[in-house]
Amino acid sequence: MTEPIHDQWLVQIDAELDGELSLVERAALAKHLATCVHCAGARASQLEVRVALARSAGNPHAFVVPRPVIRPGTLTLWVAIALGIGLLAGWGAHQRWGGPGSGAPLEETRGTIVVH
Amino acid sequence: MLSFTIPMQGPGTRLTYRIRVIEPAAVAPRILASGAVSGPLDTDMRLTLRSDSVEVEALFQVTPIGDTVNLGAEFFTKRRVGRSRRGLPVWEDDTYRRVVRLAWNDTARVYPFGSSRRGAWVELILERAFAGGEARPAEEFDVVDTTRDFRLEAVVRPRRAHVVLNRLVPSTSFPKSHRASCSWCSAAG
Repeated sequence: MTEPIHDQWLVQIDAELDGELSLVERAALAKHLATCVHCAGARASQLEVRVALARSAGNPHAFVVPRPVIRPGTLTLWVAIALGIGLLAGWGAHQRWGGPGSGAPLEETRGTIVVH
Repeated sequence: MLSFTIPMQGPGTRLTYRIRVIEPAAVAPRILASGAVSGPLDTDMRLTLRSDSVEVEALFQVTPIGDTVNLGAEFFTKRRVGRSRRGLPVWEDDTYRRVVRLAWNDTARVYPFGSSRRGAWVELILERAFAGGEARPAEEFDVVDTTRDFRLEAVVRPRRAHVVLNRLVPSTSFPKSHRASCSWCSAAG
């Protein structure tokens, strides 16, 4: 019966580190962490992971884990580039292999007569 | 009055196409069918090989040239290339002609499914024999593997007859005594 409770506290720890908990919830979590070694260890592990992520993002002194920012203009540009590449590849494949059917040259699929 | 001009029979020569349909196998090639078509020199042979994805119809014709013979084959091929958007099969039609020259009794190997030499092939031997006169074409075909759809037929081009029609006019062509007694001549005036 303790596992669901621990799972709920782990979700709370995650939310607390993201700054999404109210004061009441943070107080309840602190009270639980003071008595539960398991959840305290999990919180320490979460913090270490976030430190590692912040270091890999080039900002080891960040207050929260830096998240990549996707700008709408950049997203639109990349979608347009991907569509262009797809269209070009499709056009090239159609020029090379045509419609349905095997890509083998026509003469290879035609019958032959060999005299022995 | 009708008069027919029918070409006289030439010296009797009987042509025989002897064929075997062979499939490659791991140990030794397997004979799927064998047969023969024989008849006068202008007899053609139609061979049809059908499977789920390809249909080959070949019409073989010969033209004797001295001790050799020109073997011509008209191929009509249908290959299944896929399905349409509505789920119906899409076929590719192809028609082409092949001609080779070989000596009588030589063996020609026909690869009906392409030069990649995969799938069944047909061994064809052309024989000729002198006969007393022109006889009807004959065909025999023994399909060893009955799960295959193979057919062999003798094809004979239609004979041509020259018909001359002469119209006889009663008033000038027959004597008076005949016209008097003939109802057709009296009706014609």
